Amino acid sequence: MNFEAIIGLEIHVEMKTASKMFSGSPNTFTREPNTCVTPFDMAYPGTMPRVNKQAVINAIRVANALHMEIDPLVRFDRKNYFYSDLPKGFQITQQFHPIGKEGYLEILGKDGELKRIGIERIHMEEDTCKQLHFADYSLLDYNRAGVPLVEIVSKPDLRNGTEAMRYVEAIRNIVLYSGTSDGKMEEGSLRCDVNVSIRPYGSKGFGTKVELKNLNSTKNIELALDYEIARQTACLLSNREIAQETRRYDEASGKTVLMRVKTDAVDYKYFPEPNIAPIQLSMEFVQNAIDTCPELYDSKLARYLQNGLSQTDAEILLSNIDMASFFEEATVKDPKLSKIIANFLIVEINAYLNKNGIAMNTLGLNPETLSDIAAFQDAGYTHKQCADILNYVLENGGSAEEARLAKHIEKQSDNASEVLAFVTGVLDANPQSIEDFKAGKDRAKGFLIGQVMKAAKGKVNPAAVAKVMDEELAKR
Amino acid sequence: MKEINMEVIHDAAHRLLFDMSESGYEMLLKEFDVLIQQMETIGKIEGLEDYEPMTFPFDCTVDVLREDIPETPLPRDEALKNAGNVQDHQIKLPKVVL
Repeated sequence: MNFEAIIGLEIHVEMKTASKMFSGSPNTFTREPNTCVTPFDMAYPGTMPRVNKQAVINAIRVANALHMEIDPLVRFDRKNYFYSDLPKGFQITQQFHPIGKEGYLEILGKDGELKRIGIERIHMEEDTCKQLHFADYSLLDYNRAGVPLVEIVSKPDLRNGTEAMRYVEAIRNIVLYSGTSDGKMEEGSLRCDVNVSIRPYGSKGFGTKVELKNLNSTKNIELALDYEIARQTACLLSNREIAQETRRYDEASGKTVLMRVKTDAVDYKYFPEPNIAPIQLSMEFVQNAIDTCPELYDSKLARYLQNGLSQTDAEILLSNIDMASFFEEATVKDPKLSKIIANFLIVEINAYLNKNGIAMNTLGLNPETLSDIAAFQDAGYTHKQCADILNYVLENGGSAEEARLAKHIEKQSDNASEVLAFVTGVLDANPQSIEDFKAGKDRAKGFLIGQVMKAAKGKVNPAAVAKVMDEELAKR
Repeated sequence: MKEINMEVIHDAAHRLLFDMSESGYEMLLKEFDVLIQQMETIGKIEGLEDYEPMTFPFDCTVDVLREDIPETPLPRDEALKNAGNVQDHQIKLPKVVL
């Protein structure tokens, strides 16, 4: 019997704001434990929530990017539970009236076809505190308690690990390029819970749902789901029941491992948050949040392709938002240099970053300098010469022109008569190589070109030399 | 609706981590009888399901949002003052994993 998987994702995204969702406490990731805490975060009696404007703007931007209906009447609810990760005893969320509903996202399916994934809802809420669990005790850091979150809930439209991975990548690109989050899965600012069940093809019902946790990279989402679908299939084929449980992905073994068996659904006793009156957003406010949203990934991709970049090159640049931003600054001066600038970023600059273990945003290179180096190449300097100039600037700083002079790099001549004089001289001095070439030894031509470059001290253009060499060899 | 009896009230108190005298529980049970009768009376009103539960005493909306400007947080010692046990500037608790 053949089965199909039914996969739904819940993604929590930490919003990039200066302060928390309901308090003025700073929202930062790297501070010392319990140094970003206000009385509200610690649930001191009498403290009241105050909704962060930027968090609402961010949620509107994400909702709009996901083609959702936006509810301009912002309302919050309480999710009640007793646990140490939130001292209030409840989390403020949007259970009954999410800010966005009924959206979609298009991704490439495993078969290469465009597939539309429905999105049920997006709502705002607050994060819980960070808990570190040890053998017999836990440590609590309330810096994260109250950080603004949006939760994005997909419809169960995904069918395999690859689709789920691409869906999460697309969400990450949206939050990253809209400036609403840094989308770092490894730091927990984008967290993903996956629900997966299987059913026989053609069946309309749903099988028993298993929840997967601990998925800290998009690749792990794909691997965990592929494993879990195979595990559930094997269960059903051998007449074993699938239990409703939570499993985590064990990276070392590549398997999903039982965390806990789910019993009754928890009743969170949701009710409207009485301490926040409904907030009516004006249509101008909503529209302004949308209109001022930074350019999104898909729009940038389309623009890069229009500027002559290949799909692969454009995707490599966009996979690093700092590199994409550098690229855009470097191409402002002369957009027709886009392809050359992209090549330098993807090859030479990436190699330099990897070699020195530094990030793009700490690179000591001015985008205008890279534009000047690209202009050298456009004016006839070889790529190799320009790469030498770039590497010199990376190591020593300074302008492109200063580096060119310091490296004594001159533009190579492609003047036909000049090149011809060098080629004729080398051919006259190497009759044996001509004979070897005529006898079918292609390497002889490479030797002859090398001799020309040596005689010209590298000052002639190798492409022009090769062209003239072909013509002259044909005459002899 | 679930029947509210002494067993349910004891169980709820246990879950909410409190206890009181038997006379207290009996008083609570009697109060529940009144409450349930009131709910039943309200439940008889036609078209009730078309209304959302009332949270605020009148229809009100505001357009106030807080500007995203960070404020000075509590000094750490102050923030941890009420904690019974602190280790490495973090609150220490017995391990409970949900």
